[in-house]
Amino acid sequence: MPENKKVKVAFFDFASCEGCQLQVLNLENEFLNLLEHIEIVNFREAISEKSDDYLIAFVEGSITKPSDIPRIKKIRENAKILVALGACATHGCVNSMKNMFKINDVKKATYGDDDKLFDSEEAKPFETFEQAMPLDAVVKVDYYIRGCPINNKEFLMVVKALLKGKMPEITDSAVCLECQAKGNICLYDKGEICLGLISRGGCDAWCPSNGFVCEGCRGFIDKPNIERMKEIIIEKGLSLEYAEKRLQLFNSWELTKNKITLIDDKEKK
Amino acid sequence: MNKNKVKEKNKKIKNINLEYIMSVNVLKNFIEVLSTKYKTYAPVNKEKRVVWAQIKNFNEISRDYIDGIQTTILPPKYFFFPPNEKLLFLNSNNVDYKKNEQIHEPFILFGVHPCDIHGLLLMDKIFLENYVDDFYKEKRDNAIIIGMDTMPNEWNFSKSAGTDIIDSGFDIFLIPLKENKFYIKIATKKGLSLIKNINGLFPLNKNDKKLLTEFYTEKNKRYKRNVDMHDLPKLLDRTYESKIWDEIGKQCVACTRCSIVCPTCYCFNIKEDYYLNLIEGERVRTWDSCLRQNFALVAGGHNFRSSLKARIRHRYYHKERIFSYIYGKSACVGCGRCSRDCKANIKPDEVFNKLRQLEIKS
Amino acid sequence: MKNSLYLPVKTKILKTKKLTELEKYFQLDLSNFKKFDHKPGQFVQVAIPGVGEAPISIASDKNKKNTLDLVVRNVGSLTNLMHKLEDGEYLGLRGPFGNGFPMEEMKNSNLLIVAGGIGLVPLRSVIQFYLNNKKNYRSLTIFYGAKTDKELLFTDEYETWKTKGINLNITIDRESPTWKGNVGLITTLFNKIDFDYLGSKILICGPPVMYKFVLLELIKKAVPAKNIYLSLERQMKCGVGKCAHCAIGSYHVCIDGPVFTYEFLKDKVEAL
Ligand SMILES: Cc1cc2nc3c(=O)[nH]c(=O)nc-3n(C[C@H](O)[C@H](O)[C@H](O)COP(=O)(O)OP(=O)(O)OC[C@H]3O[C@@H](n4cnc5c(N)ncnc54)[C@H](O)[C@@H]3O)c2cc1C
Ligand code: SF4
Ligand code: SF4
Ligand code: SF4
Ligand code: SF4
Ligand code: SF4
Ligand code: FES
Repeated sequence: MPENKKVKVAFFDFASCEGCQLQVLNLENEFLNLLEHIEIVNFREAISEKSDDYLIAFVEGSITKPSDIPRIKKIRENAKILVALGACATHGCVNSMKNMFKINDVKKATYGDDDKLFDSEEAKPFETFEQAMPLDAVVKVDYYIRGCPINNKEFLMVVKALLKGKMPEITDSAVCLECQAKGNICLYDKGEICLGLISRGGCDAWCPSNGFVCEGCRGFIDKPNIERMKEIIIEKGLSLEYAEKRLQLFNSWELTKNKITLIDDKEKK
Repeated sequence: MNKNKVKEKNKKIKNINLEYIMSVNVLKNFIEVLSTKYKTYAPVNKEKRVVWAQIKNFNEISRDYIDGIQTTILPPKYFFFPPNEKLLFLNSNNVDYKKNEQIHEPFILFGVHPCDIHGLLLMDKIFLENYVDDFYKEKRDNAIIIGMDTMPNEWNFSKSAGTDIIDSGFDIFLIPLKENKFYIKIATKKGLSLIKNINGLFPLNKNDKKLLTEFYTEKNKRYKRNVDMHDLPKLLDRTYESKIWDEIGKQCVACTRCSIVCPTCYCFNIKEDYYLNLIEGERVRTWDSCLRQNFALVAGGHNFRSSLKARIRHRYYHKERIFSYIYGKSACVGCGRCSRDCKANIKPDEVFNKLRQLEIKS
Repeated sequence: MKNSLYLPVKTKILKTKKLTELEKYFQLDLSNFKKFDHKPGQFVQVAIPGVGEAPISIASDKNKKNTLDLVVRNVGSLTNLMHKLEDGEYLGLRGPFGNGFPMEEMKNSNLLIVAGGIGLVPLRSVIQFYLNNKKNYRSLTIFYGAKTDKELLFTDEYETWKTKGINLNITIDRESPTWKGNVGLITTLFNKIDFDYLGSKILICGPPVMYKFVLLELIKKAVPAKNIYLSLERQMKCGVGKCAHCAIGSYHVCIDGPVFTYEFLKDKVEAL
């Protein structure tokens, strides 16, 4: 990287709460420090000008409507490196919860009786897909900064690595690794259901270290053994219904895609 | 004097073997004195579990631990090989690394179980033999080990592992006896210097010896888990293709907790990161686990152990074989921590038993 | 400055050369090392501060100028950044590590090198060692396979090797208009070339898939397992037997290997 030339970076958002971008802005001093090395050309939260000339695109949010597709494809074309920022972008997150329900029920739940508006011609651009998708369902994603919200220290690590031409190393171990290494008391020992067993870490076991169960906001580890997870919950006499709801909170995309459920229809009745 | 004689002489100086009896009050006083001089770490209660923490007096020590109801969450390796350790500082402009010089002072680890002392001696073999790991050594050299025997907890199978008894690897060793007494053995010069000003140490009388025997009889009786661990590496070699590994592979969820809590799992990952100026930075090592998906991935994308079956099997083979062949000992010291913490219910003693039974059957 | 097992030594790059699309050659100056005594088949841990380390084989034999050759394939983070380094720049270096090929044990034998792709790199140190100690060995034959002729390494050294009596046999996987030699996988050479397989020491290095097929050929020819030496690749973090990433069966590839005899590996689970 030439010393005095700043790297152009852009931020975009799709369906999301923009909380992850706020996490970035929360970095304050560190963020100012970064501005010595990068130039932000597109960042709705921070500045208003727009530009299509950028090297790294950080994209937040899930793909939920047809008009998202050309937009994300354009971003992919323009960016040399595309980084999915936050759980909505990396694996669907809360947005993909609607994948579990019929689309009309979702509209109804969100818009009440106004849901009929969706049938009119004018509403076409707002038409939503049956599913909320992570970015990599549509375009190639180079790196994933997971979490809901993201851990801004990890965001910094990725930016620093990319600026130096290094491939950022993203954790592939379960949350339990970091949780146990801290010597925490496991929440199963207190009768709770913690998804840390099969969820991807990298957050320094944020929730369990503060006494809350892990809900898997960074997605699952590769090839999660959900079959066994289910048995563990049954063996411990814990509630499968509750566990399933926890699982769906952030991971509905992967669950629906791979047709995974804890409670099959037989058991449901 | 030839080399051997020198060695023997050193051994004699080092291996003191003094045995006494003291009352619990003397021990209390002893610990108070020690903890003013040295940072003293011991097992203490945290909610319903036991963790290592700095103490100032005897009453802080976990009763559950002394009674052998449970052991610490993390093993003593934590003090010598911490979960996160900054090794080097770096400067990418000068292509320069510097060692992270840590400040060390002597400290006391109080109440280390015989099986955990065996664990430390095995860690020493990894970190101090062949190439010396300076970071481990600096901390190890500063440790004063006060061992303590207790009753086995429900997961412990150290008797089967042959680690229920220990005769080296500590400066002082204690055994809690009935009648509010403690047996104390001093094994090193350092240990001797610690008890120098302690009054109330008495030679063992007949009754004390009886109490000691009773302790061991009771301890042996209390082991709930027994497994035939002789010949383990060979047993594993013979059962490498056994379908039991398929079963265990299906059982494991790859959470990695068994490696983290194990006193003899030593593998680590190394990462480097830049500071905000993008010039300086640091190299850090962190605890790792072979249960992690990409532990054995090499460039080109080949993963030598991509299936869970291959990974959990590797954990057993690595523990039992690498030490057995190199050092003639099994690396599983039977502390039972992994059995306690594996939510998927995988317990080494049960795995070994299953493999042995399968062999007998076929 | 205090020393540490993990402390790389700042090392100057004297010369670089792009060998192929993916491989780059580096000549390093060892004068910052108090002592650097290496054997053919050993490796070093190369560091770029901020990025980390990677194990790289030593591609040269000891020489008077106190330099060291490496050849690096661009496959990832560190190797990609290494490719951007030029003459006069610096690297961090630790080593040498590993056991290397037992050249002493192989004295007075015929040597056969079987190399696939970048596997020729560590074996080039053996070739140079052979040339420096020719009187101790009966002969050296090389079987070398690459995907295409564009991927062949050390091409400008082939003439010297041949004139000094090395029997060099090259094959490429697919036909190419610029190639007139053998075509086919490396295993095809075993039938084409008449050689005293039984009375020789055989040194193998290549991608993981190659080992299986080459071993099958050698077993077919009844070559004793103790005469077959293989150099293995594993993920390595420390290079000094501490991190356990490279563990196979009962051994750490970094200190007990990377060179093993087939006799030794045969019954070691998961080795090949
Ligand atoms: C004894 C020995 C000798 C060697 N000699 C040589 C030699 O002479 N020349 C040579 O070029 N190479 C040699 N190698 C191989 C070399 O060490 C590797 O190519 C090097 O470590 C790659 O490092 P990297 O940082 O460039 O790649 P990395 O960025 O670490 O990764 C390389 C590849 O692995 C994948 N990968 C790595 N980690 C992960 C992860 N956590 N998750 C997903 N994917 C991952 C990446 O996608 C990438 O494709 C040798 C290896 C050994 C063990
Ligand atoms: S609390 Fe959760 S993350 Fe921590 S060890 Fe238990 S299951 Fe794992
Ligand atoms: S503990 Fe689980 S839910 Fe909490 S931040 Fe980490 S991955 Fe997300
Ligand atoms: S603790 Fe149990 S489930 Fe977790 S990795 Fe170890 S064996 Fe598998
Ligand atoms: S394998 Fe389990 S029982 Fe054996 S030493 Fe490790 S934690 Fe203890
Ligand atoms: S058994 Fe696995 S986790 Fe334990 S030290 Fe060996 S490689 Fe590491
Ligand atoms: S590379 Fe660390 S033990 Fe071999």
